[in-house]
Amino acid sequence: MISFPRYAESLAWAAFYVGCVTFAVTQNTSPPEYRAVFVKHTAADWLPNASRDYVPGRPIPVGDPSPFFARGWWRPEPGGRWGKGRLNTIILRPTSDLPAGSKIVGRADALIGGRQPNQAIAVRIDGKEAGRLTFDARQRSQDFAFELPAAIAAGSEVEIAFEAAFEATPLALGVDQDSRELGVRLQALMLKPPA
Amino acid sequence: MNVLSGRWRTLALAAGVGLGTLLFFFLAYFVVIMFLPTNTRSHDLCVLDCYWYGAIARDGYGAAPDIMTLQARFGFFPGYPVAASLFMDLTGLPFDIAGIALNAGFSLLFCWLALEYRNDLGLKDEKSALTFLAAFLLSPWGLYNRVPYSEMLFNLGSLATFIAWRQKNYPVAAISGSIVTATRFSGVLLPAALCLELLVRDWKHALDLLARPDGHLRSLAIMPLGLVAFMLFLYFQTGDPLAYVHVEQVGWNQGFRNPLATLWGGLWAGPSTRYSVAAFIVTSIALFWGTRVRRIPVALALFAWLAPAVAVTSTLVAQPRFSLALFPIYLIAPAAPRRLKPALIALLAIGQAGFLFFWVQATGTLQ
Repeated sequence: MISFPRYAESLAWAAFYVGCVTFAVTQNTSPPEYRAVFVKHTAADWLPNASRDYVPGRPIPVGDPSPFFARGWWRPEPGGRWGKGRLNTIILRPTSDLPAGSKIVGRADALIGGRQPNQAIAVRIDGKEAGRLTFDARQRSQDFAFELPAAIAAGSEVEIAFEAAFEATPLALGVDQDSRELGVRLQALMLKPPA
Repeated sequence: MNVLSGRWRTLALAAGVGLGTLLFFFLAYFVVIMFLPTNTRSHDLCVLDCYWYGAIARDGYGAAPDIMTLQARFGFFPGYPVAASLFMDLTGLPFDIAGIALNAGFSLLFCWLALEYRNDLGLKDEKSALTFLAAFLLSPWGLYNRVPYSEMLFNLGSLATFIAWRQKNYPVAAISGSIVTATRFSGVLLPAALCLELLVRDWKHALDLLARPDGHLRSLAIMPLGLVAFMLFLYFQTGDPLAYVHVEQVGWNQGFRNPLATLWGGLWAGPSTRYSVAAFIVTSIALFWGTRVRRIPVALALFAWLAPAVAVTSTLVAQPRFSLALFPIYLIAPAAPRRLKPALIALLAIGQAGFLFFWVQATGTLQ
């Protein structure tokens, strides 16, 4: 009969827990929609099988769950939806062409207060900057309308990105009890073809 | 004969303090619901997390995440809802009542353990043990040990694990430790604290244990299996062994943040966060002092500090609950001057009644 040294048991326990950690970190066989929302955070809402088809000219629902909100968004609220962290993206597929002269229009505000007296938000469509918004204590909320940098063909996937210069939690700024990392908040948004 | 009468005496005392504090809770509850204005009258003790525990106890973990909040049942550990579910099957009671009855039973068992093994807790006599139990069960945050939450099972399991560990009853320590780690995530901090205490107190012996493992090491190694079993369950249920972490992140806004910035910001952000910061600081000071004057065993103090400290690395939400609903901090109550003890207990009890007033209105503002 093989006899093991007594420390083998310690080694076996150590190996077991290293195995457990490795298993927990590396093994994920969850469905893609679960992984998108809970693990990779590439979708903000739990809407399995929802389509990203978008009818130009219609408002993008910012106060309700929507398949368009991709990376970097908190839950929808009655007043709109806060971006999580600095980069917040929306992905959609227009069902009809958005020719040159089409616009991205909406209303946004940003987290201002404490040691963060201002905020700047770049709006990009497929990586090209469409416009820039600046916020401070006097202008906390504003409407915007920027021309799309390029025409968009029907059926092609478009990424709209809002990139904030800063992110902070209202709690760390000492202005509110909210501990979420916030940048921009969308109150309304739409892609609008020329009239 | 003496041993027998001693046992009966302990049982009688445990029943006395356990049932007495329970009676106070329900008296306060009936007074509160009688005196609430009619338009706000509510009598529901099952609010906030209780809904989740109830849902798990009734239907298990099968439901999809909430579409609006992305909160899901996987965020809650199974120890308490499984116990409640078994009790519901046994008695036919609905969850709200079964949960309260189960916690009442757990609190009686807690009282008996604390009285019977008071020496292991550093309580020098029966009076000290009774003072500790009264302070713990009558404190405002003792409410979490009464309503259908996992706190009472967590406290009972932690106490049983610690006592069994001190008594060198390693199989019991291992089993109760596993229940603790299956009840709340912070349960894994208990074996970690016991291990740290062992290392600090006698590191040579600790190293020797690694070379020649015995019940000490085996029980420590078995304790986290409650968590491992839950992760395995999640893997088969969702495909994600870390589902509880991911759901907490997305649905409850948990995630690593700078704890110093959180605490500093919390001082200025509003009354609720100031209350949370105060709870954490008071707990930290009390636990440190309790350890210094040998009123709280080091491992328990470390465990009771690490649990809220881990929470501070994420958010301040529910910090008073994490800090002040755990039992070790109340081990300092017997150190109060003799004349002040009744006043202290009375003050805590009044606080519990006040907390209950807010609780039944389902505000959760004092979490």
